[in-house]
Amino acid sequence: MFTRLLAISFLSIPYFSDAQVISFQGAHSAGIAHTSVTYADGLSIYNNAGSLGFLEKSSIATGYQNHYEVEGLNTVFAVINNRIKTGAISIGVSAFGDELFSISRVSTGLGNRFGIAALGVTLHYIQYRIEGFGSHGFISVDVGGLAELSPLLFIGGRIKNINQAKVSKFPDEYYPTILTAGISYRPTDQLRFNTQIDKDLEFPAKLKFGLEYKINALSLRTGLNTQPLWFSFGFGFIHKKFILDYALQNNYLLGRTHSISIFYQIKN
Amino acid sequence: MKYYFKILSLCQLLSLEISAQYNTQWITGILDLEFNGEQNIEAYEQMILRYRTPLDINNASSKELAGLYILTEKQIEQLMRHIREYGPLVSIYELQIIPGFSMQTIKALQPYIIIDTRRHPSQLSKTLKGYVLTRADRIIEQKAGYQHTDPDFRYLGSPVKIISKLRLSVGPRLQTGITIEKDAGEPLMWSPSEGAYGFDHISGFVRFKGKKLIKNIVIGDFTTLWGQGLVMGGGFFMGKGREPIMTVKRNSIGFEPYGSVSEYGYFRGAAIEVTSGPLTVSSFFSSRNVDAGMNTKGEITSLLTSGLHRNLRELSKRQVVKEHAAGINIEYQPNNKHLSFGTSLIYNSYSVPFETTEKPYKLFYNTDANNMVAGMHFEYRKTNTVYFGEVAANQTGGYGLISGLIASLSHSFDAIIVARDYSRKFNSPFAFQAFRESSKAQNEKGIYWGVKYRPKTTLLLSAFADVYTYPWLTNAVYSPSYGNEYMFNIEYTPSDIIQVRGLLRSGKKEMNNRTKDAKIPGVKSGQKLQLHTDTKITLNNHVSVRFGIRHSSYKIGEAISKGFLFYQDFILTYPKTTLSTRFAIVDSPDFQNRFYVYERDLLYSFSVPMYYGTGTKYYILLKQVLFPKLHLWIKWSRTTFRNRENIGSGTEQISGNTKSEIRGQLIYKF
Repeated sequence: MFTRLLAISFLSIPYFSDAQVISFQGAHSAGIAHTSVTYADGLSIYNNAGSLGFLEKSSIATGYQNHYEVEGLNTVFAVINNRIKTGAISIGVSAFGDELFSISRVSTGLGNRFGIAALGVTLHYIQYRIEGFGSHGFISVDVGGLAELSPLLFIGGRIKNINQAKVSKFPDEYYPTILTAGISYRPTDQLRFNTQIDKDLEFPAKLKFGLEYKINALSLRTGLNTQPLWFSFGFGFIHKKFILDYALQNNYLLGRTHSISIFYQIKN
Repeated sequence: MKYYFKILSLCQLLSLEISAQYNTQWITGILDLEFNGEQNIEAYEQMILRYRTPLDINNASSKELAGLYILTEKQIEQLMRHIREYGPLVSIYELQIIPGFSMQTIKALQPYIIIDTRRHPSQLSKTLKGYVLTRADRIIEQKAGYQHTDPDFRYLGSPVKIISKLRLSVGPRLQTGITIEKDAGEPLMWSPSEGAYGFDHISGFVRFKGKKLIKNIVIGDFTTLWGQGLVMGGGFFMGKGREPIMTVKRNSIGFEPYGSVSEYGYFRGAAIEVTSGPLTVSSFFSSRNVDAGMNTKGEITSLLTSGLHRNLRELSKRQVVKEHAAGINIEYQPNNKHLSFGTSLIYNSYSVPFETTEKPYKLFYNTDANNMVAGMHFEYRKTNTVYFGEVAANQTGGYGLISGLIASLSHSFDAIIVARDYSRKFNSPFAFQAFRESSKAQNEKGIYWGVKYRPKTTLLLSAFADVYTYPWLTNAVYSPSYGNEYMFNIEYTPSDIIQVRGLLRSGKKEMNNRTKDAKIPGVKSGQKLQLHTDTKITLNNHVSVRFGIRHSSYKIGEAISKGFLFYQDFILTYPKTTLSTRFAIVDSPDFQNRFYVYERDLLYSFSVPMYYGTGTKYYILLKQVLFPKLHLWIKWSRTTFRNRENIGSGTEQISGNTKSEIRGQLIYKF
């Protein structure tokens, strides 16, 4: 167990860097390889603050994710979304890790819709804590936008950590700054096909694809992420006001990641 | 490094007959010829034999319809529903009113279906139909093998390659055919004790298709496919290609007669298919001599597939091992035709065992003279989705598994997902068609996704992604490895005049990378990127032009190589005469950047030569109708290399920098 943990911690630096671990975007997003920059699904606070402007209902959500079936590589979150006149406000808390190493986050976001487009901003207070080394906190800002070009075509963009916050001053280590652009093509109510590019300043650009198909209350999902290569499968199930999502991601070198999230929608 | 330009259209890879109306663009897409010329070119002949008997669309099963590789799952479902609700189709034009059937689909379908046999008395009459074909090819420049001083290597025959075929059908039920062939350099021999009867390769079949209990009998040479091909997967292999949806699932259509000039990958014996109600039982027995390399202990080192027997060395390996094979497949399909499932078993034996070696990558190969594989397969259709799968195991303890689904998510959007897992011990000698990346259905795990979208009738977009691992070593990678492949394709046909196609394909695969001093090679990831464009312009009824550009790059470690190809075609068409020409330049010094390009060939035939090296190539092809039933083709081609003193190597070497070929063919149809 320990050797595996050690191996993973060395191998996985680039994998963690893409902010999936520290910024878990929910099981819905995981099922489509995180091609969710155009989604207004109640986790906009982690996906794209701009999409808060498109949010239709207030909701509360919670989720859990385990990476590579290794103890300690867990993320949990809880989010509250509140619809306001032309958009929504969202508050969320999330935590990754265990007593040896952890990242905790308190976030708040605001999105506003102007006609076919919406803009939003999210503020995160992030705290890193390493057993025996103490802790360090900083503020990171995300901005995002979403536009409905036609009922069939959505386009979204986002900048994570636009203020280029640092995790530590010595050595000079930045919290990841990531630019994202994505489109979602929705030829029918049942079908969504997404393509997205994520560029972390310090790593090769990732090209991602996601496909989602809805049959009544059930959604089936699959996705593919390049650089590093991993793929995902997932499903979502709606029952009355509840939504349950599950996703399995598989990375050839590191193994499987499981995600689950639950929503409860409050009618406005 | 030696640069040379090899034309694959030589030998048995030469050319294959193909129905005249065949849409060649479509077939190159289906068989992925432009990436895997070698392994797929044989597929044509099987495909043509299959399409020679048109399908009765009113009585066809969904499997048979899928086996045409033209209709999507949604279209099959709509067609079956239409027939159920409104009764049998009365005309091909009735297809137009079925949702999801475009004019393009109907045009593509037309040559391969019949609507109502009663309206086509020629299909039922006992008249004799068929053709005789004779073809001869020759390379003008002399190859080293013809003057070799060592008798072991000297080519014994003439440099002319000869193929002759006879195909006969009596009504729609009885078919027979014979194929004789001699490759360039092969001698004509008469020695019945060694299995030599004049021509090097002789193949034939008689096939009867019944209506009631006995559905199909083939005596002679045949192939077949069961389930997804893990236990029995003969016939043509379709890989990943421009058509991402229809080429992955296998569609079993029973025993098919074999008439190709390839001397490998078929059975010789008898096969029978019996149907009673929902139950179909297929079984066969085969016995034939196959080519093999042997070690000093008399064990098989490898089974040979080239079928070349030009000198004493090659003749010493000819038909030296006896191969017996027998198999049975039981399939159950309840009346509603939505579900079918079956179980199959195959046993084969060679007269001597295989050599045991210390090579780690061969550690899990079956070296016994015998092998047995058994499996179960299923297929289930519900609304717009078909689910399919097969699981198999063999006597050495290996297992193979494939499972997937194809869904028509809307009228114009299709998607597929297929997972495969072939264990390192899985030895299935006839799984030629099992979907995979490597050359054998062994030691491979992977997931494949494909999507196809037609937003307008003039525009087609398609893509696939394949991610796979080899859990054990392979002959090219001395460690467990992984790879992936992506493709994007766009086809735009704004009018009948112009057709434009563009394709991007990227593949990443780990390879042994031997540096000069290292005794043990390191493993590095090699990445290949290919870009294709093709434009076809029909200027008027008589003149059309086509041009294409290909670019390829290959990167392994720090080394990058690139290749480029440009070709231009000019085609003149008149009622009795057709003239096609091409001029191509290629600059592709590295073998990794070789190109396969579809080339017009003797009509009823097809070639996809490999372009590789630095030089030019042109050809002139003339088709002339001599009499209404007698047609003649002549093709002249020449390749000229830059900065070269000879072409090829060993006995195939030509001195000088040009290679010229002349080919002629006569077909008499009756």
